[in-house]
Amino acid sequence: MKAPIREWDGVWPETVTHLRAAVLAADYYGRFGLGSASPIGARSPVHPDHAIGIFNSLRRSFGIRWGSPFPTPAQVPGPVAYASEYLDKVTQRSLRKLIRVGFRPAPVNEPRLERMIPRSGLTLGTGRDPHVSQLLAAPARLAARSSLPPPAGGSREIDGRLPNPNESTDTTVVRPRHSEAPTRAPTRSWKPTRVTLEQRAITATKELWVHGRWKKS
Amino acid sequence: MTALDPRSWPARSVFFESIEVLNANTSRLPELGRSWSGNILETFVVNWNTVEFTRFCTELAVDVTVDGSEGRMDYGLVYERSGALIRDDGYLEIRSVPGKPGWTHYFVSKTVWFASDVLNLLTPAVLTLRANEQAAAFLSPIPLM
Repeated sequence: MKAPIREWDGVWPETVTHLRAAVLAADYYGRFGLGSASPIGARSPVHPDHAIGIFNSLRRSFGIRWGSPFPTPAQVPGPVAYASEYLDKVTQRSLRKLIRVGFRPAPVNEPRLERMIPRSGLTLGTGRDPHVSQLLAAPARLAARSSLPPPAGGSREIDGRLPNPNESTDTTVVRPRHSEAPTRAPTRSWKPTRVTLEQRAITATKELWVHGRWKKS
Repeated sequence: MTALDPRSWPARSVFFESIEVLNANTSRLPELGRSWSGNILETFVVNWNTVEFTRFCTELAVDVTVDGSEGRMDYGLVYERSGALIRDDGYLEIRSVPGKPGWTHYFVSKTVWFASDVLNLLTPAVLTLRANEQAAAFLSPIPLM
């Protein structure tokens, strides 16, 4: 996968994967409150600025659903809080990597990026990494931070998958690999969204099963 | 089957600002969950972030077919007011699963192409979100059928 800027080539695929995984993980958790892995189906790069925009859209959807764009564990069910924290970590680490290889928000985007971050004193997500939260909140200072040390514990533990599905409190879900409806226990099930790119056509397909009452019309 | 009917989409998804039926093949629109076809004007809003959004006002030809235990909604682009969309078509299918009492199978397919290269770059991620959004709409607390 070729990065839009040559110097980003080394980290671009991983960054895109991580950001997309974070977005999708948050989406799944936020909207469904369940799931154990990120369904990464798309292959097209997403610019970090845009990823942050999508990220903030998700925050907004969190707000619509949970009453707060920055849900805390006390405000939302366990899986959502977990996803929120995960999203925070992944996004921060991806940004760190980009910063290390010279990523700077384009000047035209800096005011916009600043506007994206609420000025209410809230930090992104759980705010457990105030250092990176500060970076996000003050893009003008990104350049001065370009020699950030690697995050504690390294970054290899992020592989685009949520690390421990057992931390989900929802046990009613399975993610079948077959194309037939599940036969027991779960009340809903789906295949990862599949996105294909062709010439002048981008197609997304989604397949899911729901167990429930079929009301005759 | 009401989820198939585009008239129900604004209540099911944050992306749809409004759906207006421009014309239909019947003099009187049926209740939600019944077969009909016609043209609709869809106002679809994508929030890229908290301060920036894109609004598409799209006329679509739609065909909703409901037959007891299964239904399908096909749609295709007529035009988009600002010319931002070159292609926008797809379908949704809902059916009961033979031999699996109580299970309902949903299938959503959407194909788009924008005039803007930037939108085409972003679309895979957004489409994924939208597909999930539609899936969420199907699973929303609103009665499924």
